[in-house]
Amino acid sequence: MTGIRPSRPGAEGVGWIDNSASTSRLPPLNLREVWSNRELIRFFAIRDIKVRYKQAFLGIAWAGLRPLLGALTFTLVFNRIATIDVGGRSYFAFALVGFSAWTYFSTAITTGTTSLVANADLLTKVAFPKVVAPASSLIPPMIDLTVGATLAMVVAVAVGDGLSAAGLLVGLPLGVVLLVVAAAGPISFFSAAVVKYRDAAEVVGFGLYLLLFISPIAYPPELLSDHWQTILHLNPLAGALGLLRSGLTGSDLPGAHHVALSALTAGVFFFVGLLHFRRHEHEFADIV
Amino acid sequence: MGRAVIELDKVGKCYRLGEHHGSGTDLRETLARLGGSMIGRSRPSTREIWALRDVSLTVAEGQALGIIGANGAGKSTLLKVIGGITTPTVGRSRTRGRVGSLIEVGTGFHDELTGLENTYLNGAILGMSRRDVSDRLDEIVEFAGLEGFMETPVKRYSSGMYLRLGFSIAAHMDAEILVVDEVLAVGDAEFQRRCLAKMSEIEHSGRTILFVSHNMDAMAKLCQTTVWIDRGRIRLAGPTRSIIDAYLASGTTPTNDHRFGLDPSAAAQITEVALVGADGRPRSTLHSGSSAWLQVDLVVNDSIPELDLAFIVSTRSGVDLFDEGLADTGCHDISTPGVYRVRAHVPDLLAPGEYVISLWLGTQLEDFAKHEHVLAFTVDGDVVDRPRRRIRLGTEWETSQKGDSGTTP
Repeated sequence: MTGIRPSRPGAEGVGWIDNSASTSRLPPLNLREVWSNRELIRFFAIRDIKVRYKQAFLGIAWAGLRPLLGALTFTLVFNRIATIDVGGRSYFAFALVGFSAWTYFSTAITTGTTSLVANADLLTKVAFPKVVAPASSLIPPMIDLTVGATLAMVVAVAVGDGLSAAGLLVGLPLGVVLLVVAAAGPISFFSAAVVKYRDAAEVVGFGLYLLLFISPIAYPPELLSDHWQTILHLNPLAGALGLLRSGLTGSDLPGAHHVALSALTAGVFFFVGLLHFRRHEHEFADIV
Repeated sequence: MGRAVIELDKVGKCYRLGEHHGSGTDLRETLARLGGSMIGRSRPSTREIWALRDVSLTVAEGQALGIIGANGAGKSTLLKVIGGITTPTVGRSRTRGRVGSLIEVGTGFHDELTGLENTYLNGAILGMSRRDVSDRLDEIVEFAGLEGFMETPVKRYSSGMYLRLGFSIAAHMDAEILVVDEVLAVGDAEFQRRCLAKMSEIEHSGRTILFVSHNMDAMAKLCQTTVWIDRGRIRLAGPTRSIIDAYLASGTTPTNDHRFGLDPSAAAQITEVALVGADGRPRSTLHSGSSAWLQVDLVVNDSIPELDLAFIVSTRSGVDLFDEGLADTGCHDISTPGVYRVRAHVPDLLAPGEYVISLWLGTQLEDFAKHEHVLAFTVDGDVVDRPRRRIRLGTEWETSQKGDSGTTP
């Protein structure tokens, strides 16, 4: 790592800090760096949020309009035309969760992938903890997710489906964590890859496009046989969506083995992605 | 002298050109290269450039160290290694205390955000906490002279306001070591004076400053000790005055004809520049009264609206005299792809002395090429006669006799 600046205030002035490239094939993941720079991460996120809404006519209303229009389209196509059933509960609420979670995931990954090259001038001119740029891209799309999630809860209550305590207390927080970790892995990997190969961003775009179809966004996993449901949950989004829906629409908690499988994949991707990032971050300033 | 706060031991920094330097490469090129090497074809050669080589240096606490050298000598790379922006390829670089880098003022500003928002953001990027910035906000605003403008988005700032805010934030961070790269190349005289005053204040507060500039006068005022970097190595180190004299006398600095390496991926670039006489031959000495042209060859690969070329003539000690742009004349002939030769008449106004020319190619939004001090030339004549004169204007004088001496009007 290149951090010549001690990340914790109070550490300054004590000893020497070496500026050397890590040559290890297995550098430390250094998650503490993310935590100790949370203020800078927040500043980056606030910047991106402000910039996004500053000159928009509808401003923050977009955060509500997008999931509503998306879920409405899903309802029309999958529920009315293709008559997909979600266990007798509101399909509209189901689709709101699916659409909002997908929007969070795809927005975070798209902006996260280009976060380092978008801050290229900072990389080459200021010594700052580089992990801050991709990490901060996980925050702004939280606004849309929160608005979409609230709308889903309102619909679930309004149509009489109700909410469940287990879903709200267990499913919702676990679902959010799984969703964020699932996004953080690919972001770490591809933000570093794009510094070297600009067209890695194309790979991400196409990958997201394919992933949209193999994620239970518009259809419930129960539509598939047991065997295929298990395979589906290798996709971390499947587990995250099941957990989120239990919290936001009052559906049953997904099976523990399914959640565990999704969490395992997300964890492996996160580990590999962050490792790739740490192995290459010392060269970003030279090649960006 | 205080304890050491910067120590470099045989530091080298190697860049690979051709492989992935400048803009990123794409996967296809790498795959093609891999494929080529698998079937036994040799890889296209990648050039290694050692921007720094075998640099050993110790800086004591509270010292102000100047760094001089020609363009591309490695000054900026040295600052980036010390500042922790890039890592050395070989050798060891270490620092004690926080390093604040002022490589380019205003880096990280976002146009849509207000001055206040950018101050907090920029402060955070430079390692200041929210409280640090709040505590110093009044000083920062006052130094920048931006009272009443902090709620304005910086995109509505003039370039001077932008610079002042950027410098002010950086100057108020509490780094033990401040690394300053050529901030004085921009901004008006008043701003430069304030910057220098602030830097000497920082120095007197016991902090360490590393200062890169082409402005030799400023360097002599601020730094007791100076290091001369030449082609990546330390050529000479010692008291600032003697180093500057040796550097200026060396003549390793610019010539009268300069060719640049060609980068096929660049949207627009300068390929060659020369100072030529009326006969088209390169000149390094101009005579008063004879006409000279600055001749610049360009390759423009993309269509770039409003592309402009400018040249700046400065004295050897770094005082800028002219800044003339092609677009000043309303000419945008170089905006479409093509190979161009542009000639600018160098006005016959310079007093005898030594001068250097810098070039810039770009638009209001983007710099495509920036070459500081690429050409040097001499205007011959007797300098001793008028030591303070830079420009010969041939001012019109009028005299009239108002009466006889001895009579009071």
